[in-house]
Amino acid sequence: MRICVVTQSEAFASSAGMRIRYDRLAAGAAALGAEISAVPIGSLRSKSDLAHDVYLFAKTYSAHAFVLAHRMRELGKRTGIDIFDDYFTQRSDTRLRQYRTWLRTMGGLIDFALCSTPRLEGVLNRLLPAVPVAVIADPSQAYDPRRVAFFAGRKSAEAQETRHLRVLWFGIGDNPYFPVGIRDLVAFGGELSRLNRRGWSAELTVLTNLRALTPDGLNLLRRLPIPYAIEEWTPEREVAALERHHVCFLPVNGQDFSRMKSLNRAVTALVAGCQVLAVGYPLYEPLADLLYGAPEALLADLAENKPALRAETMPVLTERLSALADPYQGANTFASFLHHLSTASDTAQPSIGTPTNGHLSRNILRTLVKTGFYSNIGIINGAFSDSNAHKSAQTFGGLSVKSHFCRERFNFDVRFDFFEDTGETNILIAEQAVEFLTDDLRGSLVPFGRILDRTFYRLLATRTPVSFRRNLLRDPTRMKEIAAATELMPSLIATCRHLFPHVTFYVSERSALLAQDQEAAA
Amino acid sequence: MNRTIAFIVDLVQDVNVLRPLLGLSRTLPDAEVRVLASTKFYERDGTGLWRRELEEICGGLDLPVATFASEFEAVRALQGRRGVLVSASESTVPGHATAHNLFRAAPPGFVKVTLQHGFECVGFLHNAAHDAAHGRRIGFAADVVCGWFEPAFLRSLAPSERSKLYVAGPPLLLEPGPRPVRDAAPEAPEHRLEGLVCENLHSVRLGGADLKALFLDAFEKFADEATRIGGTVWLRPHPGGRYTDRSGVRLPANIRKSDAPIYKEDLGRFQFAISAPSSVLFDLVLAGVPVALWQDPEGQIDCSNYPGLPIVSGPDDWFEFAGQAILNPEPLRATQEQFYKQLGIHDDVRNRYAQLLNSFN
Repeated sequence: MRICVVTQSEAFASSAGMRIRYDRLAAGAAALGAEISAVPIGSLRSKSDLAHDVYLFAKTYSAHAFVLAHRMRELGKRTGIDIFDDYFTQRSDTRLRQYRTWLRTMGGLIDFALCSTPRLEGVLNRLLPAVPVAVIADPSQAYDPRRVAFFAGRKSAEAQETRHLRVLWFGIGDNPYFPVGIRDLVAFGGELSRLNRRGWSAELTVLTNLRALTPDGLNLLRRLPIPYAIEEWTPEREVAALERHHVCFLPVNGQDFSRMKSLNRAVTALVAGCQVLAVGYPLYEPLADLLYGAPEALLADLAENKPALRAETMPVLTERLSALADPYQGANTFASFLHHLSTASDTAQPSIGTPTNGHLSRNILRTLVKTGFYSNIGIINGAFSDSNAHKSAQTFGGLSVKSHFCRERFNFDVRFDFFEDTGETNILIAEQAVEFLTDDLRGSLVPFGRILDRTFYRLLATRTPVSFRRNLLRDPTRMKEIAAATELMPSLIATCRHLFPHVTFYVSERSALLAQDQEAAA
Repeated sequence: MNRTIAFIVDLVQDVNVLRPLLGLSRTLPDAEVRVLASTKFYERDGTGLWRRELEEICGGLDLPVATFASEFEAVRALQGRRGVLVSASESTVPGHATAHNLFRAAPPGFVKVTLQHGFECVGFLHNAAHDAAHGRRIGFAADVVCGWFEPAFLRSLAPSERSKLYVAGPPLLLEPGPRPVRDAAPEAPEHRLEGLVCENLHSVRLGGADLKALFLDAFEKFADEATRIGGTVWLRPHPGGRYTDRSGVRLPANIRKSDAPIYKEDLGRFQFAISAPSSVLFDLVLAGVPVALWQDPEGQIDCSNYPGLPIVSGPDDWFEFAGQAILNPEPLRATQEQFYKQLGIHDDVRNRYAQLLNSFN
């Protein structure tokens, strides 16, 4: 079985989160005869790019994912999403509307969902009740208990002798929506000052991404109560730092976003032979025997050279990791989950690009014969649309529609424009898309002229099912658009469906304010 | 651990302000001196003049210059150290963002010092145009705000910042040798005409095309006539603004340009100088050169921070002032001496800066 992880970019494919999850899973999968590889979403452009058996969308929150998932479905591929962050349950947060819309739309297109924690499983079961969900924990790296015991013992002895602790905080330092990362570190910084007692001293290394080290971020760190040094995160520096430090500090706050996180940081720290001081929300409870929740307990144990992580406790670590983070187990769960899915749904034959409803005109059949493929995807481009979604939809033989809000200069198939003088909506059909219309509508077109590289025909207003309110967006500003979107987009979608009844339309809108919080797909 | 005295160089004019302090800090015991230049400094320095100056100054003091592109890069260069971090261009004004952000981000072991960097200076002493452009509530991320004059004369220091004030004096006075105001007074009138005209047309003080045109018109007419009768007129563009260099203004053919850093310019050779309100007037007063302020005929430009100094507008005024400066400079110098005295500048500027830089261990 060939499994392809679809990522947002080349850079993301090499990020820490991706490496922790998929590289380690790939090692386990190989043993089972499966192959896991990753590609950036932008590289999936043509039919020949879709050669894998299973596609897994990871953090690709764009309309391009709708187009690809739709097309993969037509080609009989198994498609799923992998969710390891909760951007979906904060219903009162308008900024995250686009994520909620994305999940709901993808929910209608996928065969399965994966997630990293049981809490996220609960979220997905609630939001996508029809989609089977499997929990695949973030797997640990290759693990040798003797090596861990050796490092833990050496660090503990050194700490006991010097009574000085090198403490490490590592990870992504920021998030565009939630106060996490270095904000958690600083919020729980008071705990670190408790390592500076009873004749002990401590220093901190902050290993994080550059984006988090803005003047604000650096200014926050000044509040830390012990001496600290900041380094930019790289995979190599993380390995070196884990080797050098005695203790990893893992503060977690109690917001939903943080409570959904996986155990991977604690697992990474323990496997490197570091003691772990985990404070705040008890996210790492399943590893509780191996961690500290209070600095005093850590100091007391180190003073006796008997910390939680030591040679004698290796059996506990081994047992916990095999239950919680075994890469082979993770790959196995994944494979058997997929196997179960395919046997359960063998009766549902993929459409392989053939429309299943009865509206197909002979002209579309002609297109199918002429080009070799045909897709019933339609993308409606909003104010901030995704050019890849537009390109892919057209590449796969579908339609790209310009909504009133879209300012892009693409070669659209259908345009909804305003007449500047009257404020009425003008519906223009490119000659390439005329064949998609039903015969009676085709007869009501009048020539319009050229826009960019295409020749357009105008559809007479009397032939549209819904009338657009006049003047709503004459001289449009963004504020007027936001006000108008709620009424205008449903009318536009309904019109598209009426004109092209065999096409399934998706809305491409990156603006949180304009994203329609409603089912856009048919 | 030794203490560190670190200087941020971001605007090209920083070099001029920091130069005397770099020299002073090198003489202080047990101090590691570091110079951090922003990449923007090199970008702003179109001609490369100030890069060469910085290299020459630091080379002479055996100081390496480190470059930083982001706040984090500067923080990385400073972390693990403690001491004093000094900037000659730090405030909440957008043009001072580099040093301001770095001050906010600096490792906690550093005390941050903002220097008054000019006579009329944002956050310290405003021209009316500064108020209009930046408002009156200028803040500093610095812990210490180091001024030139007594608080009474620093009328634009926001109440919220007053408790940070430390009065040291103009760094210019750290330069070796006394620079009394009247040192350059010649014994007898000279039969030559050599004057300096300074332009700061980029400044908010000369905002609006009208003021620029009025200044340039008066300058051109004066320079034309003065050179025709055998005089020499030097034009000195503001080192950071360089308006006449950059805007393509056509200048009279016979004028000469003064582009060297002010500390390399022999100011004593000028018999008089004319400028719109600008810090260069203060340098010239210190050098004993009779100065006049240029003001537009309608008096829009605020000259109130220079009480007692003569004001000129049209070319006729310029000639009248030049004649007075050449034939009878003494009364002009006496007025300048009065002006200088009422600023309340301390006699022990060197000692005060040394104390400031020595204070934080």
